[in-house]
Amino acid sequence: MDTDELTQVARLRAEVRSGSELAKAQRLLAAEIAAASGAAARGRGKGRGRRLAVVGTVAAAVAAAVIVAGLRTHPGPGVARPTVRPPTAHVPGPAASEAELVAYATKAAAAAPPFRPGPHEWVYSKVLAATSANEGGSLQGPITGRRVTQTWTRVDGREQAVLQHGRLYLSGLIGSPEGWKSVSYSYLKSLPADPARLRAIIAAEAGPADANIFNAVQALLENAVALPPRLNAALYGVLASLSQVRFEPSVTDLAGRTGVGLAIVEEGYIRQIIIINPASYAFMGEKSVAIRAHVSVALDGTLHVKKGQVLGWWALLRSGIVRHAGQLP
Amino acid sequence: MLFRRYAAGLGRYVTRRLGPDLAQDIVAETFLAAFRQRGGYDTSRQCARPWLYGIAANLIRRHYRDEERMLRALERTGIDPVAESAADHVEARLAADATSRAVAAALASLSPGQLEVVLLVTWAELTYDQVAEALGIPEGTVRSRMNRARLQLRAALGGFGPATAFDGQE
Repeated sequence: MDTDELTQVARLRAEVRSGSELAKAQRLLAAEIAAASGAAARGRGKGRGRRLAVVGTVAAAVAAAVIVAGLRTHPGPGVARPTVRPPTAHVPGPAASEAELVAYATKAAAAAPPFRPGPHEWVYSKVLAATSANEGGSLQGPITGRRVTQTWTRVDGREQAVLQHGRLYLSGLIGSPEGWKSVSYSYLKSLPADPARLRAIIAAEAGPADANIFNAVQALLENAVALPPRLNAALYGVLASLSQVRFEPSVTDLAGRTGVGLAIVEEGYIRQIIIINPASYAFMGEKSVAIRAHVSVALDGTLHVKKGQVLGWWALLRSGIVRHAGQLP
Repeated sequence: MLFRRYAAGLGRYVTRRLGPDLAQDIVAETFLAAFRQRGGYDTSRQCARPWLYGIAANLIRRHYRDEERMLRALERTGIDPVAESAADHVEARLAADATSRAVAAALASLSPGQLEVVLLVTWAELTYDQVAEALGIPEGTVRSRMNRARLQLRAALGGFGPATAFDGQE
C-alpha cells in the first residue's frame, strides 16, 4: 500500500505521551503573564523585543536596571539602606551638560568602593510603573494606575525570579538583551571603560546607527543586571557620544524625583529618555513621550498616539545585591 | 487560551522528537515566544496550531544533531533514547523491533527540511497547507519535499510494492 512508509513513521514512538514536559512551560508562562502586566506599562511594544530574550523572562517584563554602583546614594521612597556604601570622595554636581554628566559619573565610578558580586548572588530591583487600559507593551491611553514589581536576577544572568501575588516565580534565563553577548558580571567587567572602544563593541553587536546603540545601552540599563561602576559611567559616555542624543537638564521620574536625562527621538515621534540621578549618577528609570501625533497600523489594530502622550514611564525605586531570590536588601 | 488547547499535543510531538528533557525547554520557549508575539499575531486566524508548530520547528531545528544521533542510536542498538527517557512503563524499555530500527535509520537519512515536513504530517498531523504556513514555505515545496522524502523512506525500508499514487511529480 502506498501509505505504508508513512504509516510506519507514524507508528514510531507512538507510545510517547505528554506529561512532565508541560510543567515548566506552565510555570514560566504564568510568570511571564504575571510580569507582563507590569512590563506593559514600562515600554512600548518595540521595547519588549529589545529586552532579554529569555525563558520565563520575567526580565523581559521586569525592566529594571540596577546600577549597583549607583545604588550607593539611591534616593527616593523605600530606600532603607543602600547595599553599597556611598563613596567618601566628593562627587560634583549636578551636571549641566552631557559632557559634565559623563565626567562626573566617571569620577563617581572611580571613587566607588570595590564591588564584586558573586555569580550566584542576586540583584534585587523594585520598580514602579505607570499602567493604562489596554496594555500591550506600551501605555495605550491615559495613565490609569501604578504598579510595583519586584524581581531578582542572578548575577551570572542565568536565573530570574519575580514576586507576584505573594508568590515567587523562578525561571531560567537563556538570552541576553539585544546588543549584548552576555550579562554576566564577569563579561561586563571585561568590557572597556573607554566610551569610544565600548561604542565600537556595541555597534558591532547591535548595529552602528545612533538608535541601535541607544537601544542597546538602554536594554542593559533596564534589565536588572549588576553593572560594574566603570562600565556604568562608560555607557553614559557612549550615549553622550551619539550625535542624536540630547541632554535634558530636568526630568521627573514616575516616583516624583527629579533627574537629568539623555534622550533620543525614535521613529520620528517618540522621545525616549533615560533618567539619571543628578547626585549619584545612578540610573533611575525611563520615560517615553510622543512629540507629535502618530498613527500606527498593526495586525492587532490601529493605534492613534496624540502629541504629548506618555508612552512609558517607570522608576527604579530600590535595588541591591542579596544572597537569595526573595530576600530584600 | 492557547496553552490549554495546544500544550498537550505540542508537548507530545516535541517529546517524540527529542525526548522529555529537551522538550520541556522547547515547549516552554514556544509558548513564551507565542505569548510575546501575540500582539503581532492575527487572532482572527481560525487556528493557531500551524503558528505554534512553526515556532517549535525553529527551536527543534537547533537540535537536529541530537535528533539524528538519537535516531541512529535506536537504529544501532534497538534501544530508543527518546522512549527510554519518556517511559513510565517497563514495556517501553524493551528493545524496539526491527521495523522501528529501520524506520529510525530511514528518518535519520532525511535532510532536516524533509524530516521536518514528514514529522509535521505524520506525527503532528498537520495538513500540507498547515505545514506550509508553519514553516513559511510554499505548499508546492511541502509537496515536493514530502514526495522526495517518501521515495527515500520507501527505498530505505526495503519497499512495499511499487510506488504508486504520489501526490505530485518529482
